[in-house]
Amino acid sequence: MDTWHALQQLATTGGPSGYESPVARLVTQMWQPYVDVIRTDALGNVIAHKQPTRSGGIPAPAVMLATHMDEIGLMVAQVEENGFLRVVAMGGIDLRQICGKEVTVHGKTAVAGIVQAVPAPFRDDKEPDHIPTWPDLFIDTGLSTEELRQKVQVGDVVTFSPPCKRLHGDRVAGKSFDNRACIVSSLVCLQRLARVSHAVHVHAVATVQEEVGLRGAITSTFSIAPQLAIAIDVGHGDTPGQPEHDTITLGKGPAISLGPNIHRGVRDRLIAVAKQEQIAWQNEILPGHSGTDAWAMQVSQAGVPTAVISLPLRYMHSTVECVDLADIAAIGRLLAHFLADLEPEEVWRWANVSV
Amino acid sequence: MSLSELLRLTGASGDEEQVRAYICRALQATDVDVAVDNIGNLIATKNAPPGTPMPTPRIMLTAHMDEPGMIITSIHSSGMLTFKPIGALDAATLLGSHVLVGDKGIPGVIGGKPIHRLQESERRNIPRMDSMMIDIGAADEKDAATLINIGDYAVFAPASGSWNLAGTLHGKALPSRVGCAMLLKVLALELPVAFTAVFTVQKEVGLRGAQVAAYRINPDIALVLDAHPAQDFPGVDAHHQEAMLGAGPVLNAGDNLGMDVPLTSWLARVAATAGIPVQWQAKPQLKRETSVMHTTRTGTRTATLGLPCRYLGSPYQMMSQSDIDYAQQLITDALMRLAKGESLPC
Repeated sequence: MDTWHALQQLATTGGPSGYESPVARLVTQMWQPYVDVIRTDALGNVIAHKQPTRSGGIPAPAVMLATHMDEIGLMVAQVEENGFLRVVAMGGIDLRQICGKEVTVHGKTAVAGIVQAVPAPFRDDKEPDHIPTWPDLFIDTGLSTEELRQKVQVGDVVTFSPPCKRLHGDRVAGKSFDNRACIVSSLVCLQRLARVSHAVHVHAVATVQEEVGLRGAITSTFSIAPQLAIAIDVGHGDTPGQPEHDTITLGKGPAISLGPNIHRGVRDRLIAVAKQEQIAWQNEILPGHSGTDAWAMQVSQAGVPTAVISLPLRYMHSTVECVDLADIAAIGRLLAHFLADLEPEEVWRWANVSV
Repeated sequence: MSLSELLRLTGASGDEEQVRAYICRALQATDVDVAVDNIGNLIATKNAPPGTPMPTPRIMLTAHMDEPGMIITSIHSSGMLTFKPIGALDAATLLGSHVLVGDKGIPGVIGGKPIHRLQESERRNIPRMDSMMIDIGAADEKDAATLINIGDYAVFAPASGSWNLAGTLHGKALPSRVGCAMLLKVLALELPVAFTAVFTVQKEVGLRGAQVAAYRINPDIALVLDAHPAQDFPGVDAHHQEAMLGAGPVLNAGDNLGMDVPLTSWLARVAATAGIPVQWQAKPQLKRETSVMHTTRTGTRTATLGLPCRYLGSPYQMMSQSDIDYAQQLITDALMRLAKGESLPC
């Protein structure tokens, strides 16, 4: 399956935090052919395990790759008369961007709707240049009161359903590329690993509830107890009006992040592999909380060396997130080469464990 | 001809060619005489069948072809496109929208600074349109220039098509294309009456097509098909809701709209006789093609049949199929009455 086809399938599936199961099923289907065992844990994380295919002479360490599969969304708070719904946020919703957007309400059956707001004169804040706030917003489904009550109830989740489109060249635009695009990178990595040998246990994980507190990463890292963990997530792409030093550039390959969340040895090794394989890469400075699963993975049990690889993405948390397909594939390639070349001894050394 | 095809066409004011060509094709094999005037209006003349007894007043029907959109003003060094609005675009819905640029319909998106990077003060305001750019995925200015010319038009991309709601229509350009589809249906009827249907240009930027078309045709009676804003939302008091979806076409009693009172009242009686519900609305500030046609030459009797529409100027507008069906029936009945020689009250 090519990257674009896989991304389209993953990104157009609805799965906000805590409600990832449709995405989990799809990830399981996509990864299964390339791993030995794949399971779903108590929180809903998809955990795939690939045994080492060559011996490194000493016990094989466990390396974990984490990509979160949840997306931001809305939840039905009230079913109104005449086909309208009131909603609340699940994750970091930008209120400047949600009016006039198409959504899918995941009720008994999928119900389409549009997010809109009452006109400014009917809001508490009547300033027309101000954006609406939650009490001003609603979803219009166009259904009758009875039809809507039959299909939708309070607590049903809502996801955005914009087009998922190919732009010029390898650029694509749509929703929830944060972080489904990186699930595709893991797929590319697993596909390549199936054709080469590696001396470490590979655990590819699609985590749940990253957007609401890295919760899937907390439990999956505990159960795998890896000696090394890498989070693959999106990073803010270059956009006019944003400082160049604070963004990463689309089409220029994976960003290999640095900062307190990142183990220097692991980062240096990733850079060495990128250079050796002539994969273009870039820096991304994360001076504290990386905003990724790596933040939770690093302090799991007695501590885990972690790294972050970022996919450049523009307009994060919107219905028009943009990425470059070549970057998605390049991350997969980088990870596959990194894992294939990795010697168990190095991993144990990074983890400060003598074997 | 299908409405869903019409809705997918791009046609910002001044760039109506796709819509005009589509309608021309739809009328090709019919008995309707088609002409395009000096500014792009498509004028379709339906002659009365031979032997039609009585002369009727000269009747003109209009619907506009154009939709609000954008025009590209420059290509930024990043390869992104700056733009200015054309017509009444809902600025609050732009950020996060998919658009199509130029004759080839190059897909693009309007993205903004991500929420993680917003200052507190930025979170509160609708972003200014002159700070937004269209991203078509170009690597840089040179790359973008292979696809885009300054002055290209852009419109909202059509809905992804996943909706299938009985009784509700949704999408961009509804006010314009629903009217066009209705006129095509009237033209396909065999009525014992002659009339001229005009598919107008540049309504959204100042009612310009209707003005010159009315001069050319010099009608006695002109009926306009257009949307009427509906705000029947939760949180809006009943008397501010304007029109309601599903309660029938809107007849206006505004003072600045060029509404001919006897003609509008007559339409209400035609509706009542046929059991067609109508809604009365007073909204003097609306921009209506009737406002310019009313005072053309020595004056024209004009009225608008309003189709209740929510979320005007946004990528997902909404209308009710029953309102459209009722309006269609009302035009047909009105034309039949005029054909029978019914004279309008003064």
